[in-house]
Order: sequence, then C-alpha cells, then structure tokens
Amino acid sequence: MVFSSLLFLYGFLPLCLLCYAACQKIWTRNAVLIVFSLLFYAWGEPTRIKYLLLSALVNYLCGLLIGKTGKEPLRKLALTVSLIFNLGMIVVFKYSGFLIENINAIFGAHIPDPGIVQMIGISFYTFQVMSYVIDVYWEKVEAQVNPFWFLLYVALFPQLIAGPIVRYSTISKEITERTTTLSDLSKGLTRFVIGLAKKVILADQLFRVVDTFLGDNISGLSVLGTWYGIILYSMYIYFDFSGYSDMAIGLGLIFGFHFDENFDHPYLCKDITEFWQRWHISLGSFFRDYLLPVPVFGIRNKYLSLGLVWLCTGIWHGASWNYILWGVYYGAFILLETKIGKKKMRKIPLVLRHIYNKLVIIIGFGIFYFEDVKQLGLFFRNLTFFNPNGFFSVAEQISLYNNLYLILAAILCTFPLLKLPKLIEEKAPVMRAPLAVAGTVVCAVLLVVSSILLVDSTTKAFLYWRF
Amino acid sequence: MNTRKRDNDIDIFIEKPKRKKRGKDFWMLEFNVLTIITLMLLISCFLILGKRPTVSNEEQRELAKCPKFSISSYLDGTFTSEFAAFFNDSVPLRSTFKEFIAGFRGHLGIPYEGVELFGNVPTLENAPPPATEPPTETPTETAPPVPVIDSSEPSAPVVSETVPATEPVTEAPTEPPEEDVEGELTNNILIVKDRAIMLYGGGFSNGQAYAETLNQFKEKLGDVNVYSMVAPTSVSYYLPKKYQQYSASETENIDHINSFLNGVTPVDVYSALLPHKDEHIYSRTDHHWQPLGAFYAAEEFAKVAGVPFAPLTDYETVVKEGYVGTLYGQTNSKTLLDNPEDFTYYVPQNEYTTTYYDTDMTREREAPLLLNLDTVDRVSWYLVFMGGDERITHVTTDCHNGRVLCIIKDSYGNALVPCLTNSFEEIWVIDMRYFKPSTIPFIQEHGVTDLLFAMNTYSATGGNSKKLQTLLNQ
Repeated sequence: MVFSSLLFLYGFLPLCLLCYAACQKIWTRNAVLIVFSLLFYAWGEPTRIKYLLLSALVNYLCGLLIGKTGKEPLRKLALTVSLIFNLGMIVVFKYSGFLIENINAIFGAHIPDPGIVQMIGISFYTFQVMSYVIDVYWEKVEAQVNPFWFLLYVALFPQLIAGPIVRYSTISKEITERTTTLSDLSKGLTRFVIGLAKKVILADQLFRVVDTFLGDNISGLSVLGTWYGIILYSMYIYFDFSGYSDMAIGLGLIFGFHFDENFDHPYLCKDITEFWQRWHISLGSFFRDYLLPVPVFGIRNKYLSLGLVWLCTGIWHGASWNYILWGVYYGAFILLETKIGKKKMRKIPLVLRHIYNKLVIIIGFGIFYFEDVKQLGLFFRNLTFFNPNGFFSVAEQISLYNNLYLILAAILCTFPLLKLPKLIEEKAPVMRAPLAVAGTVVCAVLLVVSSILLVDSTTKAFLYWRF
Repeated sequence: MNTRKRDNDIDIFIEKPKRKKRGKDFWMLEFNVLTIITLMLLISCFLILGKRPTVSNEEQRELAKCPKFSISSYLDGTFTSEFAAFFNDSVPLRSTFKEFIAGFRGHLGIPYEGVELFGNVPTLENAPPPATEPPTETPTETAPPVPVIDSSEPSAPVVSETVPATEPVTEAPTEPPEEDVEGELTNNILIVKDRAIMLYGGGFSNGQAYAETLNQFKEKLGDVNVYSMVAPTSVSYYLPKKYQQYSASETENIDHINSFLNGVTPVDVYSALLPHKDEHIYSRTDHHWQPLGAFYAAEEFAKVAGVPFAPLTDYETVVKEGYVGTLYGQTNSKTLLDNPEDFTYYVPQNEYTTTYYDTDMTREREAPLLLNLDTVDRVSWYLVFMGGDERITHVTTDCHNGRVLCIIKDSYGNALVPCLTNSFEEIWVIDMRYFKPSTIPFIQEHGVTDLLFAMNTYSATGGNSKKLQTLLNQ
C-alpha cells in the first residue's frame, strides 16, 4: 500500500487512527500499531511477510545474545550470524537475479534465474535491524528484551517500506513511553499533508512531463529536450522521495514518534559533499557510521574505504549496473572535493560552485534514470553536440509553456519556504494567529486537491519503493 | 521544571485538556487538527458510502470492479492489487473529479501558440522510402524499416464501442471485445488551438501485409470487385508544418500500400477530402471523422465503383450540439472540454431496411440503421451508425442495380453505410475484429459483387491488419 493512495489515506489510516486513539495504555497502543503495520506490509507482500517476521526474530535473538551476555566470543558470534543473515536476505531478495545474470554472462554459466521479485522495503528494514544489532554490540543502546516491542521497531508502518532508516536509538525510549501531544498531532498532520502534496501535486505532475520526454525511446530528442527532461526528473525525484519522507515523519509524529530528518533542501548545497549531507540523510549517515569505521582495507586507507562506501551506496539503490556507476560517480566527485580541500573549495566563486554541483547532480540523475545501457549511452550522446537531432526542437518549447507554472512552483519549493511563516512571526508577532489560520486553510486545500488528483489512475508509486 | 499538564503537552488521546490549563496556542493547534481530521473523515465517508460508478463514458471503459475475496487470490497478491485499483478507479463522482483534474492541469502553464502536447515526444526516425519492387516478386520479404513508435497497438484504453443496453436495436454485445482489439488510438496527441490531432507513428511492414492480404482476397474471390479504402486521419490535414516532424506521413503509407495492391482497386480518400479541408470533415475532439468526411469518401468510392450516388440534399441533416469525443478522455484536456463541437449526421430518405445479426450470424432482428442518440452519452455519438462496431449488419435498399456490397471495416467504415443506401441493392457490413463465420464462403453465398475494405491508416498499417489475415483463413 502506498501512502499516496486513496485506500491508504481514507481507509487504512483513519481506521488505524481511530483504533489508536481508542487505546489508553501503551501496550494496547503498541499492539494496534503492530497489527496495523503487519496488515500494511501483508497488503503488498501477503506471503513473504514471514521473512519480515523471521528477520525480526533472528535479529531480536542476536541482539539479546550480544546485549545480555558478557562473553566476547558469543557476542562476536551473534553479531556475525546477524550480519550474515541480514546481508544474505538482501542478496537473495534483491540481487539474486542481477548476480546470476552477471555470473552467467562473465563465466558463460547457465545458472537458472530463480525469478525472485524484490521484496518490498527490504533495503530499509534490513538496514534498520543491522544498525540495531551493531549499536547493541558497540554498547550504544541496550538490547530490547520484549520481542513485540522489537517487532514494532522493525515493522512500524510509517517507515517500514521506504524509509527513513530510523535508528533504534532514535525511538527506543518512545516505544514504551510516548505521548501524542496536540502540538505533535498538529505538526504531524501538517507534515503529512505537505508530503502528500509534494508527491501528488508536484512529483506526479512533473513525472508526466518527464515521461513525455524520457518515457519512450530517447533517440530522437534534441540537446535541449534531453536536458529539459533530466532537469525535471531531478526535481521529480526530490519531491517524490522527500514527500514520502515528510509523510513518514508526519505519521511518526501523529503516533508520538520523533524520527530524524531525511532531507534538508539538498538543491541548496554548495558542493557534492554537502549535497549528500542534505539528501537521504539517514542512508548517508548509515554508511558513515557503520561502514566507514570498519577497517576493511586497513585502518589508514581512507580512500579505499570511501570507495567502498560509495560503491555500496550505488548498489543499495538497485540491482543494476547504472546504480553502481552512479555510486562510483559520486564517490569520484567527493574524492575530488576532498583532494581539493574545504578551504580551496570555498575560494571558488559561489556561482561556479552552484553550476558545478547542479551539473553533477543532474547528470548523476541521468545515470540513475537509465537502467538500460543503450539508453544511457544515447542520453550522454544527446546531452552534447554529438546529438544528431539538433540543439532544440519545438517540443521543449510547447512543454515548457504548457507546464511553466508547475516548473516555477517546483523550483520555488526546493527552497525552505516553510521557514517563511516563522520569520514573519518573529518580525511581527501579531501575525501569529492569522498565519496559523492561513496555514490550516492551505493544508486543507492541499489535502483536497491532492485527493482529487489521486483519482487519476496514472499516479505512480513512490520511486523509492523498489529500494 | 515540569511543564507537562500545564500547556499543550498532555496526550491528546488520553486526557481532555482543561480549559484553564490550555496554552495560548491551544486554539490554533486545535483548529488545525480538527480541520484536517474532519476533512479526512468526511472524505472517508464520501469514498466509502458514496455511489460508485461502474463505467467511465469519457474514457469508454469499464471501471475496475470490486474483486471477490478468496484465500488464493489474497495469497497471490491479486486481491489486494485489484481491491486497491477498484477503490481508486471507481471513485464516486469520478467524471466530475476528472473535469477538475483537466482544469487543474490546464492551469499548470500556458498554451504555446495554442498547442499542447500529450503522450511522448514522438521519436520518428526518418522512414526511408518504401520498397518499390513489384509485389509479385517479393511478397513477404524485406519490409521497409518501421518508424520507431508503434502507435497501432497503444497502451491507451481499449475503446469498446457499445451502446446502452436500453436501446432496442443494439443491445450490449454478449461477449466482451478482445483486448487491444481497436488499435486506433494513440498516446501521442497534439492539441492545436481547439483540435486534438493524433500523431501517426506509421507502419510500412504492416501496410505491405495489409495489401498482400487484400490481394489474396481478390485471388480467392475472382470476379468480385475488391477495393481498398484507407482513410487518413485528421493529422494529414490539420497538423501545422512546424510539427510535421512528429508524425509519420499517412499519404506515404497509403501510397506504399497501393503500390503492393494487385487486382484490388484503391480508393483515394485523401485527395477526395482535401478540397473539403475547411469543412467539418473530421472531429476536433474525437478520433473519428465526422459523417461529412465519410460522405465525401463514400462519394469517391461510388465514383470508382461506378454506382449512383445521392447528393447531400437528399438526406435529412441532424445536428447534435455539445459533442466532446474520445480524445477528451484520452488527454483529459481542458481545452477540449471547454470547446465542444457539433456532431452532424445525415439520414438517408430512401426506402431501406436494416437487419442485425450477432457476430456469429445468429439472432436476426430488424432495427433502424441510425440510432436515436437522445439517451447516448455525448462522447459516444459516433455510435449513431448501427449502434457500434460488432454486429453484422445487412441493409436492403430500394436501389435495384444488382450490386451487392460487402464492407469489411473498422469503426471508420461505419459512417460510410448510410451514404451508400442509394448506391447498392444490398449492403453487408462486417467488422474485421469481431466477425466469426467463414469469410470467403459468406461473401460468395450472399452474392456479393463488390467488396470494400474501409478503415483508417492506424488499422491498415497497425496491428488490426493482422485480423484481416485471420478473416481470410477462418
């Protein structure tokens, strides 16, 4: 079930909220959340929900062994078992087809493809449980003794299938001790509606335009047409993914959970390093905290470790070579920026830095978009003067005019607009009440408009579903 | 300092805040929460309790139905996906919301010189000139390259042209049409001013196969005159020069077909319609031609076939105002919605009777040739001719010239029939996609003297042309 579907918004969610509000005690509330989370997951994965439960069980037991026994060998064994299990799950349910295809291609083998379809949300919840087990091993958190509470952490539906990757430490206390205050409820609902609007009003509409240009064979696109398509795709993917994160964070707040932010206006970044501090923060920090410190190549060889991190970042995004290339591509630019050094980077005029990083990001999303190698090749050709279709065609002109307000609104929304009311309030406290009322009215309008737009069946599922 | 219980931090689901302990922001938060929650609950009630439509007239399709639950359908995931599709697809007041969406999208930007683009930017590779070798030498080899987009089998919704069950003549067909059976719509549509134009993808290889199938019909039927009428669509007349790079040439494709015809007489509809370009010969909002366009095409056919033809003045003209056709459903364009057109058709005044049969020649019944459109949704007014595509139609007229016509057609051919009631003694109408009896014996048994293949370029050069091969052999 996707958040941006009428069934979730007006069937599942109200029912869940009503049941939740009817419960007074924490354990009944948790029971409601567990039941609804499992229903939520089983809606998309009716049979393979058992693997989610198995993953929760294995990692719960490993966590318990690590946390509650003082014996180092046992702790190490439990950690190893957990890591092998988790990585094995990801390999089997996400990469088996890709691995077999490549082994067959390289070694001329004939291993049959088992045809395993990627399991929904596996990349997210597996990373969550890994962070938990490692944190317990590093004694950063205490092991959860109650298996149901641990299951709640793993399966909590707001963040189950498309992130953010919530650390156990972030919500460990809130599992057994939390309140839904009026302020949180208000913030959560508002955040949820804003996320929905980002997805339905901006991302889905942008995607229609993207699809016009990049949806079919791109061999006939002009230089400008190709750039136009991929720039809009870059905006689309931001609103799609950050919209989902907003909805997840908002839902968390409604139930009294406080997740960390996952996006911080990434297109405002001044360099690529900063982009990754603002884009999908929970993934970047996961690799930074759990992979970078592991001395795979010897503790001093930080460049190789950096390479590994970016390789993994790429692979994490999908079982296809273009994602690996995408990860390596970013790794290379971050290495370049590290070599240049922060001080020298700062000396470069800001305009140039913005042009540089936007170009890298936009071309990067081209690599990300085209899973098909031939199309990716055509994409690179089309971006340059090797494009045989000319620099410009009237299609871009029509499309730009037809979607002018949408594109302007999208550009505007990449800026931190939501800070504006607070700024006004600070300057003129008298505006507090009118702003609050206006905010509510805007939210109501966004909710109604988004809901109506959802009637159109062309709505796409969230992109990050497949990760 | 414990501020809990003093301000707005108590658990809202457990405790009711006491009035005197409320913080100063309390009412704002309360207003926000109550507004959003109330709105959500209202919409929930509307979606759950409201009456759900089962058909979308604009899109000419049945909406997703509520699936029946079974353990197996749940376990294989079909129940959940079908239920979600049902919940989303058959929303109460769906067409009103679709109109809102059209309006919303219409305001996302401004038209560029009155032009809007829907679907993909067509990536036509310049099609090399079609092969010109004589058809007898290489009947099936070396088809010329096909342009990149194959719009003949679009992912567009299937148009199943059926009439309301209440109509006495033309009850709903007993069998649902095959999927993708009507390969006439394309996803790539350009709206120029207030006219929607489908961008034609072309298909030289299918065209050659079409011509060769017709040749085989001629071979098998011997003395019967066989004609090929491939009707262009509005793109051939109304696409401004500036955008011609986005559409393949229909005339080139028709010429290509004609170059392969052997013993089959082509009917040049393109040239016949060209002088009438400024008249209302094609619908602006529908993928069909207007009855007037079909009239000029029928006139050209009558000329070629050497049969009499009644002028327009011999017909009763009926004008239906407010026509918004299928291309609105395709594009959901506000421009089309806001600019309806007339649907003008012509009722022959001579004596004739029309008999209908099911697609397997059973259930004979007599009924008018032209449907009463009063109860038909405006998007479907093209159904006026015989109430749609499927049924086998037999018209006997007061014209006694011994000529018996059989039309094998797609929906473009429907509009020709009333224009030919003064030209042939009998007319048999067969839809190439639905007809079930053995075709050649059928034509021979009914004493057919003239066999007309009448369809648009999308059918002749698209997937539908394969149906003709099936007809030939069935």
